[in-house]
Amino acid sequence: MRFGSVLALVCAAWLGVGCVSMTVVSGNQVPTERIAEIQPGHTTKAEVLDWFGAPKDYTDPSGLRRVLDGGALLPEDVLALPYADVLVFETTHGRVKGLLLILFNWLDIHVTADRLVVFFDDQDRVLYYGYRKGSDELD
Amino acid sequence: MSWTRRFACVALLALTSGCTIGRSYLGSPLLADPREVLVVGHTAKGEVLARLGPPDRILRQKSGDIFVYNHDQRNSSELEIQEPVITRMTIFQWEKVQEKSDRLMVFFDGSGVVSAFGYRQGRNELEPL
Repeated sequence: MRFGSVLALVCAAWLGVGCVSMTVVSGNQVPTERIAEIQPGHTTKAEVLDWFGAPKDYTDPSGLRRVLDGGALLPEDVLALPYADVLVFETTHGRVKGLLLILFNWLDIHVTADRLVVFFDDQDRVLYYGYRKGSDELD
Repeated sequence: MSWTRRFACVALLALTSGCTIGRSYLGSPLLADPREVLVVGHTAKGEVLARLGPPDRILRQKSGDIFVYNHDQRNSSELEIQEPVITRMTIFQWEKVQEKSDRLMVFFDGSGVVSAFGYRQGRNELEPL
């Protein structure tokens, strides 16, 4: 009888334990191998568009991104208005980890972005740029 | 108390109450201390991008751009006790939510040089629970 009760308790505890691990990636990958080739004063907008494709501001956001936007889990767009002299390339990464027990739940959510921002002069040549691989912080 | 009763007590407790602790982070920490990088009237936009990375938001004005850097953190703790069988009514609920940001705003003049900046490390104000 005692062994049976202990076994029932262990089974109940086992059924009540859950674990959550989720990774979300939204947006096209920014090809990092091309970033080193960007040279302010030389690289043209046409080359940047050829290397990195259509910038984020002109791509249709995925359904997932719209859902995350609605839940206020994602930041606002980087650029308030799409100007021709700034292009933004971005991939958003999200990671969720959780432990669901009977009496205690723990959740840890990280949302970050790999982002490339390129400014151009009036000759459509790169003026300056900035890049950050935020997804490295999730590892 | 018999094992059966103890088990019943534990099962009842499990069904009625729960504690949830959540942490969410949005954005990335700054790559460098802006007070060491930014010099009003000297630091150019290119150097800001190189040292601090791309901003989270760019605001455009006639007098020059504004870069906004954000690293948000949300801490939440919740304890809830419910009647588990008939009404599922919440008997007691306690919740504490804190949202703080490390925020940097950099103003540039028309020639792309830092004209002013503001920096606040709000995440330091977060309490442990």
